Amino acid sequence: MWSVFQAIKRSWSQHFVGQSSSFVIMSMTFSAMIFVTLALTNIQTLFSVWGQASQVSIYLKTGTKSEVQKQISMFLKEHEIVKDYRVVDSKESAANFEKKFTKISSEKLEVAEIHKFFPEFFSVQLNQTIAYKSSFGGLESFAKGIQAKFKEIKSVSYGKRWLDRYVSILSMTEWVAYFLTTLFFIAAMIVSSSVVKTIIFARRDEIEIMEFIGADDLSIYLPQVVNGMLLTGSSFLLGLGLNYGLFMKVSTTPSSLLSQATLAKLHFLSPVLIFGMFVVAILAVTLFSLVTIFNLMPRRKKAVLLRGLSR
Amino acid sequence: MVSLSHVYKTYVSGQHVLKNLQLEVANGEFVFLMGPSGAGKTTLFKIMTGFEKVSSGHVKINDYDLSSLSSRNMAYFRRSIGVVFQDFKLLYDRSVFENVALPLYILKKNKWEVIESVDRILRKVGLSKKSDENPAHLSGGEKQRVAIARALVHDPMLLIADEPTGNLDWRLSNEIMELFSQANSKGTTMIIATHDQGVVERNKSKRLFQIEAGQIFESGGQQPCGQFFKPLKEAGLNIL
Repeated sequence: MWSVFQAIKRSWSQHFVGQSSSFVIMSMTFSAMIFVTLALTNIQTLFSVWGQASQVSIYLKTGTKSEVQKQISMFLKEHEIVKDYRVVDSKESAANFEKKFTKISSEKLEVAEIHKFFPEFFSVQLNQTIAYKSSFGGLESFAKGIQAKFKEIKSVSYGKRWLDRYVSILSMTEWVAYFLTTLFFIAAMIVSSSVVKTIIFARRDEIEIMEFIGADDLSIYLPQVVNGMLLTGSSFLLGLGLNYGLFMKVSTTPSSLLSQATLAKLHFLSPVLIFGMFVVAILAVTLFSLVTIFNLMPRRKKAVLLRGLSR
Repeated sequence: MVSLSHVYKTYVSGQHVLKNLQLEVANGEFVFLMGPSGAGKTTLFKIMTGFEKVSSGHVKINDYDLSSLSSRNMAYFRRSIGVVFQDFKLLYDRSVFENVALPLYILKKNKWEVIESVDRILRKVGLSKKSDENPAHLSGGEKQRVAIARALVHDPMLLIADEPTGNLDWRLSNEIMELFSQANSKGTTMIIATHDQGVVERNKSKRLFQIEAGQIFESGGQQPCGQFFKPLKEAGLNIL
């Protein structure tokens, strides 16, 4: 193992510019990849900021008794999706309507007992994170559930058109994020394997000499593979560190865009996900390096190797 | 020990370099190989070190059949031989000491064994004072001696040298030949390619082979060593 590190040390001293610039490029690529993944995991929380305007209205049938209203109130109070609610009676509804009508018409609305035309309803303010979880499955099931439970409820309105648009934007953003993550990952692997390729190409005379004096493939090529793994690992960790710093800064600084409550819901990548990404990156770079090394081998050596593998 | 039978080598371009070559060298023998440039000496050496494959025929050295060796066994085989190249093949990012020590590192010798063996061989080739220098700062003759030291440091069973005295004056050339003789007396089989008629004349007791146009002749013989020609078509070749 010591000789492997000696070889890596030599390689760094001989190709310092190439190695360090690759390290910088890979760190940037991994930073971007981790950033997109981080945004992806928090995407629903971030998108729910736009959902403030969305309001659920639960309309009651005319003549709904006050006991039923109490039961509905109890139900709403206990439901996790509900942050707050209030009852809007038919008179308040009618007054609101009259106010809006005077804004758009010069005529005065003179209808006797107009409030009879307006149903009483519950205006519900939602707990955003829960309501918009799993592409709004929570909100839809809440709407259907409450309607099924109370026959006195005429309808539940929750801005379906707005939500449909919201879902499609969310889904598109997720796909873009997946695509970018994959793209950055492949870019990092290509950079890493091109470092391996450059170093092997620069060392081709040394490799030939080492082969002449009896060095086996493992001792010749292992330093390049380990070098690729170290480059990948260290640049991944740097990218992770940078993202963590940025995340800590953003998540502790309230702004006009992200409220304190929203910030509290943001979370960093889970250790399992980080470990998984790290392992996949290391395995992928090893595979890329091995393929690169195999491609650079002379034909006679490839033939000997393939013959050995087929035995 | 070294056995080449019915060896043909043809490059993809259609150039036939070796034709039905037959060579037997016993353990502990000292053999000279002479021939003009382009006669096939370097190709023969590449075949004997496993860096070229024969088009047909068999090569067996130190009980290793080179035509069927795995990558790992090829490495083991090369550890049992020493090779000196015309162009030295030294590593210019390492000192003379590190260059000479390479075969010992590969054989995983311990630090003290490495120091002792390298010091001993550097003294023998007259380079003990230059062990810390970079080979790039040495003269052609000194580089040649570093290459020879590296080839002999691990007491190989077979030493193959391509023009080992080509860059040396007569005095150094004699010293190197003396070094080869010492190694040979310890049991190392020697196959030395040379243009230097003087070296051969001073070592008349050794076997001498001539290689010409891809065929090998033992000195004084009229027929090529593979005199019973295997028909070329039978060997899968068409050189006419």
